[in-house]
Order: sequence, then structure tokens, then C-alpha cells
Amino acid sequence: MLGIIFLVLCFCILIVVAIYNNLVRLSNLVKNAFSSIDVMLKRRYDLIPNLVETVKKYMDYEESVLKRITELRVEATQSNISIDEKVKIDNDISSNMSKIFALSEGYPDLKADESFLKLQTATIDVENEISAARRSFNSSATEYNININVFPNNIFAHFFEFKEISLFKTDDTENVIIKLR
Amino acid sequence: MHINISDFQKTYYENVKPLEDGIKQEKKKIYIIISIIIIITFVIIMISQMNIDIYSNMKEITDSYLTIIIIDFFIIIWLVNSFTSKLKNKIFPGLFKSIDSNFVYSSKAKWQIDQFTDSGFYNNKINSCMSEDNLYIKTDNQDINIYELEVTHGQGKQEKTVFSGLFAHIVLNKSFKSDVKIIYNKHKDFGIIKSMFANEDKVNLENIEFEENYDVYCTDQIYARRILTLTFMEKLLQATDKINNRIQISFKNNNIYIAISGIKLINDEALFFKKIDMVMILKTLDNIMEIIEVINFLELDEQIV
Repeated sequence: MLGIIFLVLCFCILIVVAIYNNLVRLSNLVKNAFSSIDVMLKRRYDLIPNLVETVKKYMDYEESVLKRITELRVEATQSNISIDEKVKIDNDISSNMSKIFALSEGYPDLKADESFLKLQTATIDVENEISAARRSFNSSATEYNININVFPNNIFAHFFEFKEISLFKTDDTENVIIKLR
Repeated sequence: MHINISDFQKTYYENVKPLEDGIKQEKKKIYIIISIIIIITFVIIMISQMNIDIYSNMKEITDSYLTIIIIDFFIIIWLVNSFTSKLKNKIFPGLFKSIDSNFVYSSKAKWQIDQFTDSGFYNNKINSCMSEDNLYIKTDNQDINIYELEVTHGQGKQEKTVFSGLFAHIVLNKSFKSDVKIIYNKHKDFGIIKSMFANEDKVNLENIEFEENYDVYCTDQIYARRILTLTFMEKLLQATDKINNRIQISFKNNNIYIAISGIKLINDEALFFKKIDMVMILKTLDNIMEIIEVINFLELDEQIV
């Protein structure tokens, strides 16, 4: 009898260990995916000063857009912001960048500027990277969220304090990229 | 690239049709030869039947009849094959050129088994790889080779066709960072293939319909999503619906491999007995172009490295 109880206990411990390890694995995948987004967002922030400087020479009348994007860059580089705030700022930056490229249509000299063209290509590249990284993060986060919500994982997730992660929702970056083209 | 039917019709009637009419005369000659062979065989059998008496060995007679019929059969096959190969060499280069000046057709493809192995569509040892028709397409930024292919695995009774269809190989001037494989996951006869990819990194994508049709494998989850954008997935699904054949795509180093199962460039069997099926050839080419258009949408030369 004691042997059976011991076996059942061992089995239960093994299940808990397996669930815990799986949750840790998924949580690490999500963290890894988010750090990839972070790296790419930094690449995008690094492009902003150059873009503003290049555009400023030609687009004197669009000062408000340039000022706004510079402010957003400063906000985004602050270290104490949450994922949700980061997502919001990121969306604002995306829409302002696409606004700059849309406005550039009215400035033929700017459109012919070599450094502007290089920045435009680099921006498309970064936006594609961000879009892919965001989708990868969302896929990992969805899998993680499902896992911490299903029974019996939810009991252990609550006990070991695995919290639900918000998805990286955006105003459809792919559309922004198409507009940039 | 789209096939312009009116341009094709014009060049076809100017250049290819006269050749086709010439070939028809040869076809008539072959029909006459085949008829003569059949008549001679029939006469031989009739004469020998008349000389048979009750003491004749029936087995020996039947064997000799069979030998004659088999020899006839091989002669007819040889005649048909030589006609088909002559027709292919004479007509098809011009015919494909008349469809598009960038098309170069060859009836004997310089095929290397490594190309199929390199694609990663099948990881086990390939037994044989047969290729007949080849179409080379040169565009401004790409070299595309399309092969009609039949690949088998195993020997004797265990021999199994792992791929039969068209295999396109595109060489780019840039390399992919990671290998990405798009595998059709509704294979009936390719169950082995699917199971072989189980250990590789599967990429879960957000398009449910795409996930129902395809499995994507790549070691770099983000890079796979750079290639498989939402629009690319939609376009590939549209192409799959239109073509109605199984499509698999592999991005590896500076190569793109596309495998379309159950489709032929030229139906050799029907060439002798029927007319050249231009509708089928144009439809096949249009299908191939549809897939290449989907790939070109990625603007790989400009963006992904």
C-alpha cells in the first residue's frame, strides 16, 4: 500500500516538474522573442535622428511631424516603460514615419536626395524585421498564454506566479511598409 | 511575366505551324510502317496457321507467335519514341520561343541529382532521378530552370515515387540567412516526407488556412516570418487554389526550389496519338508563372539577405 502511495506521489511530482519546466521554456521563448523586438526597435530609433536631419533641410513646413517623432523617440528610449506603453509609442512612431514618407512625395528634391533614399531603404528593412519579430513574439506569447490558462497548468502557473503576457498589437505594420514602398 | 496569347498566336502561325505540318507527313509515314508491320505479322501468323497439323508442337508455335508480337511491339515503341523525340527537338524549342523570347527549351535536361537533394524536400537517399524536359527562363534578375522530374526511393518491390512533377530552380545573387522550407502538409503519398521534418523547427504562423495547408520549417523563427509575410501567405494560398496542385518551396543559400507535384510540361504519351495540346502547355506555364510571381512579390533581390 505504502509502495503504491509512493509511486503515485512520485508520478505527481514528475507531472509538476514537467509542467513547470514547460512553462519556464515557453516563458524564456517569449522573453527571447521580446528581446529580438527590442534590438530591432533600437535600430529603428537610431534611424530617426538621421531621418529628421535629412528631411529638415527640405520640409520646413512639416516641423510638427518632425518634432513629434523626435519626442516619441525620447519617450521610447526611457528604461522604465511597460510593454503596453512601448507598443503604443512604437505604433505612433510607425504612423509618423509613414507620414514623413508620404509627405516626401510633395518634395521632389527630397525624394532625389541620396541619403534620404538610403534611409528609406533602411527603414523598410527595419520595419520588415520588426513586423517579423513582432509576429514571432505574438506566436510565442499566445502559446505561453494558452499553456498557463489550461487545466491543470493554470493551478501551477498561479502558484509559481506565471503571469499572462499582452500581445504586441499594432496598427498593421505590413500596411505601413507597403505605403513606404 | 505573363504570357501574351495574341503575340504567341502570331509567332506560332508564322514559325511553328509550318514545322508542325512537316512533322505530320512523317507521322503519316510512321502510321503506314506500323500498319505494314501489323499486316506482315498477321500474314505470317495466318500462313503458319495453315501449315499446322495435329503433330505440331502447340507450345513452340505459341512461343514463336509471342516472339514476333513482342518484336513488333518494340519496333513500334521505338518508332513512336524516335518520332516523339524528333518532334520535341524540332517543334518545341520554337514553340516555347514563340510563347516568350526568354524561354529556352531542351528535351534532354542536364540534370544533377544534387539539386533535388539540396532542396531538402526529401532527406533520405534517392534511388533515381529522371528528367526529360527542361525549360530555361532568363529574366532581368533571375535564372529559372524548370525540370520535369520523377524521383524514386528504394529498390525493387520497395521502390516508391517520392516526387513526380515539375521542379523549378531559381538562382539568386544573394544568400538566405537560414533555410526555410514550406512543405505541403496534405500529402497522400508523401507521408514519409512529413514525418521526416518532425524534428526540425516548425514555425507556427497566424494564418489558419495556411497552417491547414502548409508546414513551415526554419531554425530562425523571425527570419521565417520575414519571408512568410501575411500577404505572401495569402498569395501562396490563392496560387494553390488556382493551380490545384501540391506546391512546396525551399529557400536555401542563394537558391529557391519549387516543387509542383502531378503536373507535366509536355505530355509525351499523347504527342504521337494526339495533336500538341497547346492549351495544356499554356496552362502549365501560366501556373508556373503564378508561383514565380508569388516569389517575386517578396522582392528578394532588394530586401532579404
